Amino acid sequence: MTAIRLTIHESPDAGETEITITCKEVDDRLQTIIRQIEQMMVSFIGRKDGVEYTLDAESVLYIEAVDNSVFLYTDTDVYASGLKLYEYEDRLKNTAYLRISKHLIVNTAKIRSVRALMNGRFEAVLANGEKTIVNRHYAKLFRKYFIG
Amino acid sequence: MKRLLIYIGAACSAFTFSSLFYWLFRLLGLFPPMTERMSLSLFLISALITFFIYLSHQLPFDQPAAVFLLEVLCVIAVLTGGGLFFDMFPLDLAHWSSVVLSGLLAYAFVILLVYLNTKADERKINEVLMRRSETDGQPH
Repeated sequence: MTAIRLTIHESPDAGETEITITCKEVDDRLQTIIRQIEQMMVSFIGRKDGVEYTLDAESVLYIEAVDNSVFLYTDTDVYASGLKLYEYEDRLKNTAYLRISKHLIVNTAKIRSVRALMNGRFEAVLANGEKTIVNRHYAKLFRKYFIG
Repeated sequence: MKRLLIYIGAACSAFTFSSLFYWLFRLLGLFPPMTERMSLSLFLISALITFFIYLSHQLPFDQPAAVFLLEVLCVIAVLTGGGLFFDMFPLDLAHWSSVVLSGLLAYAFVILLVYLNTKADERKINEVLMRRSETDGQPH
């Protein structure tokens, strides 16, 4: 495994903050870093008790559509969102978020373990102990995401 | 490609298990001796059941009970239709129920094989998760 050199240029004259990756090709390790950086740049607006909050993408466990509403779940709280699930799916491309059922997008960085179920499905245990089901139609992408 | 291989493997497994169950029912004196033609018909029926199960997997619903029911219906329908088309057994309740029972037992073994495949993926994914948590320094 080749070492990655990290160079930070800090200057009061710098314009916009910019991250540049120079490499021969994007391998799995770099892909993980890129996903994390892209995810860091994403934040969500969630409403709770009439108050709007800005949530870091990293703090959200999963995004679920219930009837016509979408909710963001963190370790301890649930926030309502004005966006549709497909809009989140679009915004969260190339991040650690992955669609695992018709109603749910999970933050794969928050998955602690998985368990095989019948019919080619998986049960994913999240960092807070909650369990979500990876449906058969999304299991192929789920496998590919982790084991190629 | 991997999924295609799983379905081909499932068809071969279904054929193997249905042949074994046929042999078992033959020992019990319920079925006539198996001929080459019957063996080929059995393979075609196994392949057809797997094909219909593959088609059912493309349907937009995912409730385990509904999927299970649809797969069982595929097995029964293809066994009945295929058995009559290939003239594999006389159309009476005793023969039909024996054939359906052997088909369902073969199907159960195929389900088990698919589950074992998912179980192998479970282990690989958990290894990735374990490595990731070690890298991140988070407790697993």
